[in-house]
Amino acid sequence: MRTATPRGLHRFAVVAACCTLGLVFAGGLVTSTGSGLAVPDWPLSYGTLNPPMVGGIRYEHSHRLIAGSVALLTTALMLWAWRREPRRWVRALALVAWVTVLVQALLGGLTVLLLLPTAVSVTHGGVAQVFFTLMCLLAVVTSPRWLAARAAEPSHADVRAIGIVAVACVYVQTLLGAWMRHTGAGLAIPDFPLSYGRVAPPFTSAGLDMVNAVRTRTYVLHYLDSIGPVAIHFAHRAWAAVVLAAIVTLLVATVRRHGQSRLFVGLSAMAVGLVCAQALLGGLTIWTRKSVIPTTAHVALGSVILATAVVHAVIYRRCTTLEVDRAAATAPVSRGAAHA
Amino acid sequence: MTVYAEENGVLKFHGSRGVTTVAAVGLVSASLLLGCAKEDDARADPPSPGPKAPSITQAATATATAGTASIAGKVSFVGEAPVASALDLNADPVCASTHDSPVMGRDVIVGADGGLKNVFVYVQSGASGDYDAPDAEVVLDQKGCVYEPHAVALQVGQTLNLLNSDSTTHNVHALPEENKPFNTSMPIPGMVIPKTFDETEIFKVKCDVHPWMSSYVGVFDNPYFAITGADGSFKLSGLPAGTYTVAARHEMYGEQLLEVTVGDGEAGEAAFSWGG
Ligand SMILES: [Cu+2]
Repeated sequence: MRTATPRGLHRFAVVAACCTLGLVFAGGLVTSTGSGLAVPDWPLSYGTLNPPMVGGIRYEHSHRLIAGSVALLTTALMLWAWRREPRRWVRALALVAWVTVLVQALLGGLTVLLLLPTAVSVTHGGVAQVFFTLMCLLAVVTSPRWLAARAAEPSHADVRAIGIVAVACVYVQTLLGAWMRHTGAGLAIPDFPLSYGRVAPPFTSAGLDMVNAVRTRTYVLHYLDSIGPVAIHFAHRAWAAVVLAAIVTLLVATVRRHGQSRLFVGLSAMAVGLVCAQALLGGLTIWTRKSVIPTTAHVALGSVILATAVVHAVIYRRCTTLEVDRAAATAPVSRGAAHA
Repeated sequence: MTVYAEENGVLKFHGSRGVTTVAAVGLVSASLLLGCAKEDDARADPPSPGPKAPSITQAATATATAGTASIAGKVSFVGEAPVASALDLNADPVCASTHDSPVMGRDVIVGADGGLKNVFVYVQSGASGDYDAPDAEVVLDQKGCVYEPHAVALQVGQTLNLLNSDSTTHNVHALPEENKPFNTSMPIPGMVIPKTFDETEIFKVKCDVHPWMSSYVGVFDNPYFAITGADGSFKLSGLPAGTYTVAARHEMYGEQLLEVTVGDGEAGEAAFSWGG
């Protein structure tokens, strides 16, 4: 029976999304602790479901167990939505989430079996962000507030556009972060907010000597044999400024167009706050020399920022009316609200 | 200034007899417990005991051509050496229980006389000819959850025996770029896995179960290589007369090159230094 979205489906989706955030954190822990290959086999761990939980095995195997549980939750969510959810696109969204978690599991296995090739590990990190966002979307679109919402305000093209640009900027940043992590470039620049005492670090091989002198003498870090990691690391820092600009622009546009809407302004203000907190966590990651907790929290908060930006864009679309919609509403055949 | 120097000055390999016994025990238990001894991964016959415990320089001279020249010297660290900190082995109770005193980090080990330990010194160019791999096998032991030794050197085609002397699980994760990377689990105490390498390079080996465990393996296409001892000294012997580019590579500080010319019977010198 697909008469109405069950209230329980929403609650279940919220729980699943929270578990997924936990999974992102657990996955982040694997890389932060350098445990990615502590278990050389996959899908079993040392040929069993119960390997000795010591050292890096604890992180890697826990990640696998939590991932298995989230995959089960996602399967249940998908089946439940498939049976009871009246909106076809929501059922499709649940199916996409389910397929994503399966692809993600395969990528996880592949990255272990292929010894963490950068491309596969970065993709595994990138798909994790997409999957968490999908789970958040499922929680949002099954909520009673979403179902009861009305498109009260007119939609503004600038807010819509900036919202999408912001999502793209944030996602690029999570990929840059994953690339930096999986190339071991997290401390390629050991100071923050400056880079080797300058606004921008050197990018030439001539600058490499200075970089290595500072690394080995001041920071007691191993030398770099190319400037590449510095460039990757700095790209992540520079792009952070782009993300901040995009998110602040989104807030400004939202306030200008919808100053009265607590929902829109609240969401975009929240995004700005999260990005600022994220910059601080990034700094903490450097200052503590990639201490495990701030480093992993930085990864998890990245997911939350991406989900927030996407949810903002989606809710904006839901709660505002496009010109075409208004035109359609006055046309003889109305779109109706049942499938909104 | 805190200086950490290891108790035994010279890098020595464990006697091959001990290795043989451990390897045999490891093999038997491996086949009994797992039945997973792939020909690729675990050797079918235990390593034969060499005439004596080989050291790197002995292994090197064994196959050297009839050269009579040598290049010797010291790798120094000038100035205040970084303070070594104790490794936290508590992530695995077995590791912590095997040591009575703290185990110090081994990235930079500077001796009392300013010698820098664990530097690969090798002939990077100038050596021509085909050098057969020596029969002597080199051991990289995982003992007390640290690698012994911290740096090993061997020739292309020479056998490196990975050994687990601990009663806990290690994975050996090698990160070469020229050779084939691998990640092998060594869950059984006494297990031995032989490896050979085809290409010249120095690469890192790490254990992801115990993130503090790291070691460096140097593979060279000629027999003229050494790893500095606690006093920073090295000697490349058996060289034919000629001009050589001698490289010194340290995991923290990178690589330095020197050109050295030696005639027959001559003892050439090379000095490297970092820090300052
Ligand atoms: Cu280990």
